[in-house]
Amino acid sequence: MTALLKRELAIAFRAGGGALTGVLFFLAVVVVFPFAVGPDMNLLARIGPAILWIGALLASLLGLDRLFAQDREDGSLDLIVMQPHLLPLTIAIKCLAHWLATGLPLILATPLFGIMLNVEPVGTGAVMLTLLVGTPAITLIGAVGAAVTVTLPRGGLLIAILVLPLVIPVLVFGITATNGAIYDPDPFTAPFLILCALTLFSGVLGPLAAAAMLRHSAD
Amino acid sequence: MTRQSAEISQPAGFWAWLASLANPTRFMGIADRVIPWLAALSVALLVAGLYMCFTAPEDYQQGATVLIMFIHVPAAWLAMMCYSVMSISALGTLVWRHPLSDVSLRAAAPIGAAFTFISLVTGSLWGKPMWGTYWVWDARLTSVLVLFIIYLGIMALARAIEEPAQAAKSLAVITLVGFVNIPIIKFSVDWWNTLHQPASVSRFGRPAMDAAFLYPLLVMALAYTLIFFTLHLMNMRSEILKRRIRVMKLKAAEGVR
Amino acid sequence: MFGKYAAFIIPSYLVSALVVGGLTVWIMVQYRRRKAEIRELEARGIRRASSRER
Repeated sequence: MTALLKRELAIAFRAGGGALTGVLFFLAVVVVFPFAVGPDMNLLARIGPAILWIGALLASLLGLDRLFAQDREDGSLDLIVMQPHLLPLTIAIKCLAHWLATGLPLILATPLFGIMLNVEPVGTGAVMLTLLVGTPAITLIGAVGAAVTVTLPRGGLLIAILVLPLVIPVLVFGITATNGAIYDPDPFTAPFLILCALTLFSGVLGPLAAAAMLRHSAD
Repeated sequence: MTRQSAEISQPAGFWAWLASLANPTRFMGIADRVIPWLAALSVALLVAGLYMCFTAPEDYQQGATVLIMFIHVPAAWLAMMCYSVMSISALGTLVWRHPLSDVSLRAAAPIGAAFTFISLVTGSLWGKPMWGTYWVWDARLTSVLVLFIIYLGIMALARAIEEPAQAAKSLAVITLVGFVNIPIIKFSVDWWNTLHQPASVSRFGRPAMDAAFLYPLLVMALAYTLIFFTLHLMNMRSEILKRRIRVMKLKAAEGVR
Repeated sequence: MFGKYAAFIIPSYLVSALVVGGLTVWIMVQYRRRKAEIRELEARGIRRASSRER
């Protein structure tokens, strides 16, 4: 299992830097927002956490089609499905590797973007923490979308359409918890715990559904 | 014809009957006979329901706009029922591998999207005089909007995948994942709504419904349901023909080669 | 009729009728078209696997 994780990570960081593309896209989204809403620093500070969350959400959706596509192209997907290990576990590890390569860099880049958007340090910290808990859920739910569209040559946009409605709860509770940390009367713990629950739940549902899909498409 | 009906009435029970429907030709035969009756019944109920709607008294609070409720509430109800039908079909594809369940799922998706659309449009037309705006980010409206996007996503997926067996499984998996997620989405939207909702909207929450409105609403709901099943059967019939055409064209291509 | 709310009631009935009617027509047209296509394919001598067994 660690061997698989190492292999996946090696591929993710080697081939064209999928991680870097995600962060660049994140940067592009963050830069575009002030042009749309104006350079008012107070306004930006208020909606900053939301911008960061939306940017990270879109950036994590962007790379999802690579989750299984590469394995399918070189034929190793069949091997992965055939192997004696538990398929959902294998998929969970693939998701972990994918998240380490694409999700984690987004979180590491967040403080920089937070400064650009005039988000106060507490807010940036809260965004990082909620992203740390929330983005794995996006990857895990996205694995279903990736598995379902794996036979399509250009499934990326379709994955986004299919997955976006399903990750709305993650966005809602991520933002709510962030705002809870910044503004005093709003609760932080409750939405944050629900966010954790969502991630754990997707950790079961995502790999199971993706495994069912991949196994079916193999026979 | 007589042979078919004899087979259906065998004492083997409902499940055997359901399994016997696996034969598309037999299904087509049954559908051809059932559809005219179902269509006639739904039109009759619709006429009766509309008559009851327009003779119902005006609501003391909503005024004549209660007329919109009679077509809005059943549509919203069907939007959810259709997704349940699709989810059962998805189970049929994945668990029992019933060949008609994929036909049923595909045939239901556009109908569900249409009823969701109706419920959104009539809802916002009701909201304008009642709430003062066509659209509010109210928990119910937002959840239905998300459901609409899910329907459209499923339809887009159905169109995108060419290979039938692959498409069937993809649609079934994504439909079921959506089904599991819908309560969570509803919950999160409710949560989000209680934090952000200006209190003005909630005061329009309707009290227990008077019988004068309940009966027209029930008849309309029944009419809508029958319309749904009529259209669903019709679309399933059409979907089976599409598959036959595909097989025939493949055969023709082989013959040329 | 309908008082001051006519501008909202009539469009909502209209939209519902149009959508359901349009859907019905679309399904029926598609069914007819496919039926015609099958007839045409059969006329060209192409048969389905199951129809050959009869």
